[in-house]
Order: sequence, then C-alpha cells, then structure tokens
Amino acid sequence: MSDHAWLEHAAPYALGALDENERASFEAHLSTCDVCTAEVRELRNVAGLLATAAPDVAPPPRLRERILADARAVRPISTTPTDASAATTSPAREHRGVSRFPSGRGALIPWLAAAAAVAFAAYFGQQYRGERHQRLAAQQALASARAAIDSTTTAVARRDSVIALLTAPDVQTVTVSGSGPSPSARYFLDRRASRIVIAANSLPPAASGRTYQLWGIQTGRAPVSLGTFNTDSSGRALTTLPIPVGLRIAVTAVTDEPSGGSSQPTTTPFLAATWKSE
Amino acid sequence: MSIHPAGVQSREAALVAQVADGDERALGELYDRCGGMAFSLAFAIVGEHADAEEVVADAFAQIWRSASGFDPARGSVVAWLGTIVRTRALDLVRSRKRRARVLEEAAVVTDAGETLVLAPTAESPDRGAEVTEASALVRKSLAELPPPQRRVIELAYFGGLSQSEISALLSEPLGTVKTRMRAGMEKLRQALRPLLEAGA
Repeated sequence: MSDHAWLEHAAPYALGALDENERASFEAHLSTCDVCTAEVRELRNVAGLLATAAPDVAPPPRLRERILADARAVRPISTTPTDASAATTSPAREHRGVSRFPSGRGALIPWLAAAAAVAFAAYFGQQYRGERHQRLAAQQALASARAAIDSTTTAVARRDSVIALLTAPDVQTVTVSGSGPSPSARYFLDRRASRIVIAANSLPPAASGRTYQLWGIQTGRAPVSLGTFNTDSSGRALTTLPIPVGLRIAVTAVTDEPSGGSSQPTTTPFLAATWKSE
Repeated sequence: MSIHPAGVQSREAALVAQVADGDERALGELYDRCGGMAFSLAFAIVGEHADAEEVVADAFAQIWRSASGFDPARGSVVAWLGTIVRTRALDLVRSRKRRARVLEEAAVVTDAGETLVLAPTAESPDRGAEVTEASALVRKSLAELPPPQRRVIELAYFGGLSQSEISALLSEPLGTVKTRMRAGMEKLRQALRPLLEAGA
C-alpha cells in the first residue's frame, strides 16, 4: 500500500472507526511513518473537539457532591516518591525470582485505590513507587487497553468459539499490552459463571521448571491463585480458569513461578488488568 | 470551559495539576467548569440520565486517582476528559448490548428528511459560562457538514461504530461510508483550524 493510501486511514482511526484488522495494520504502519503520525495527531484533536458538540443536558445537582464524596474516600496516587528507596530501585523485570511482598510500608498503600493498576504494582513492591515514568507507562497501557476493548472482542470472537461463548452480555473484557514485541493478553471475566479466560500473546514459554500463574486480587486482600498456564512455542496461550467462590476480583495479573505454582506471588507481576466492580 | 491548543496552560490544566496533588477544591472547580460538558457527552452516548451520572462519577473518580497521568503537551483537558468519558460511556453501552437501541432512539429526522444521530443543537440560554466561542464553533461546524457526512462521523464518535458497522446500519456501501467520513473530517479540520493552531 502506498503512503498516500495509508493516509486515508487517519480520519477513521482518529474516530476509532477502523475495523480490527485495518487498525492493527495501520498501527504497524504508524510506527514507521511520521507523516501519518502527524496526520493522526491533528485529526485526533479534531475528534476530541466533538466532545463539546453533544446537546446540553444538565447533570443532576447531587452529582457534584457525589464526586467529591467519592474523592474524599480515596487518596489520589501521589506524584512524589513516598520514600528514598523508591528512587533507587531497578526496573521491575530485573527482580524476577526475588521475593518482594507486602509488608510494612507496602501495605500502607490505600487499597481503595486498587482500581488503578498502578496501585497493584505498589502493593507488590517498591519498584514502581515514585518512578513517575513507569507509572505513566502503566496508565497509558491501561488507557490503550480500554480503547482496544471493543475491536479486540469482535476479532477474537470471530476466531475462537470459546471466547465467542464468553462475550455474553455480562462478560467483562480487558486487553493489556505493551509497546513493540512485549507480551500482551486479553482477559475475559465472567463473574456469574465464576471463570476467567486469559488469551496471551508474544509471551515466551516459561523456562524449564517454571510456569506462569494467574492471580486474582480482591481490594484490600492478598492475591489468590487462579491457576497456572504456559504458552506454546509461538508465545500464545488460551486458558480458562475457575474463580474461587466469593472472590471479588478487582485486579488480575500474571507472575512467573516454579512449576506447580506458588501460594503467593514470588516475582514481579505483569499483564496487570483492573476490573470494574460487580 | 475553555479550549486551548495543545501545550497552552489553561485554567483547567492548572486545576488538573492541583487535583494530582490531592486538592479536593480543585476537583470541585474542575467539575464546575467541565461537568456539564462531561454529562452532556455521556448522555449523548448512553441515552439515560442514571447511566450518564454513573459514567461521569466514574470518570471524575478516575481523574482524581490518576490526574498525574495528564500531559498538557498531548492535548487539552477537555480532549482528555472527553476521551475518558467517551470510553467509559461506550464501555457501558456495549456491556449492556444496548448500543443499537440507543442509536435508534437517538436518531432524529429533520424537516428536510435527513436522519441525524444528534438532534440539531440550539444554544441553550442557561449553559452559562461553559458555552464558549470554541464549543459554539464546533457545533456550528458540525451542523454545516452535509448531513450524510455528519451522520457517519456522529455514529463513529457518539455511537462507537466502526466503518463496517455503519455501512451495515445505514445499508450503504462501505466505500461510501469511508469517503463520507474522510471528507467530513477534512471539512471539520478546516473549520476548526483556529482552535487547532497554537496561539489561537
């Protein structure tokens, strides 16, 4: 496709209206094309202005107080490091195999803020704390995952009948992805049927004697194992796991564990997803 | 509510910075300035007052938790807030599989026999300080698009539909939908140029 033809994708892309296959190929092109990237940036600003075009509808007066009351119950994620050690810790992935689990200050992070994946990371250790760029990266990954939810649901459902079954009205979906070739995953959470499906991509198989383990976390509680899985040589996995009775999952994430799994995570979690409450 | 070009520090951007530091009063002022826009956008997408209220409450809770993620260099507060509200509203509609019904109910047939997604907007006298020349220009520009172009853009933005879905909904060829969407966005870009250029 010529660059000229690619430019035609910019407007629908900015409106979120490309179909899944077109979106994926256009995003691949964007990573190599400054012209299309600039075009998308401007058209996104155009699309962003459409937010102001909705016909006026007055919010109920109680909404303001509700928002402020909600805010009083949750402390925002601080932009400043909470302790000196936070600034000197190494990037998260280097801590695989090292136990860093909640004790002392880690437990002080308010669990009411657990709806943010960032809080998840803080709970597990100090790697992320105070490291603004990593937190921003996590937030951006969350934002892009949210944006991808609908189109990915459509594409996956076409490809896989297991997942088609799970796109019933009550199933929630979250896509977690990094940039470039890093691992990504789509989670399908069916609270009513008490099961969760993880579809992982670009995740190298766990090393010999190791496995991947999926964790579910209820706000304010320790992680609960949902089971173990591994990817094939192409880096893919599609696994359905039951959810223990009574567990109200707010966050899910994966760790690399010894074969058979661990009772609590022993390495840095990744592919973290946050879930709306039931 | 004011709309500033990317990179220009607006009152809203200053408020978001204060919100990131845990300033409740700033959150209240941000709501006072942008809550009406947020609610109107949510309502346009979800079509019900109670759902729109949930969406806006969730959106401001997200802003409260993660205002430090706002980067003024990447766009205005309004664009950022609009993205958060739109994403949450579309998630809600999709989760309930109500999207088609919402769009059906929202469709408006004009005197000229054209079907629009959003009702033509007259400026309401009580919107107060939130109505700026900027948002008025956006509405005017949208209203001046040929209705078929306006409709595909509104179905994409407010309905969250892909080009293929729009093609199926309208029983129009996909190529026609694509052409209209591109042409309409190009006209909007030209019409909104004053808002997009720095220093405007």
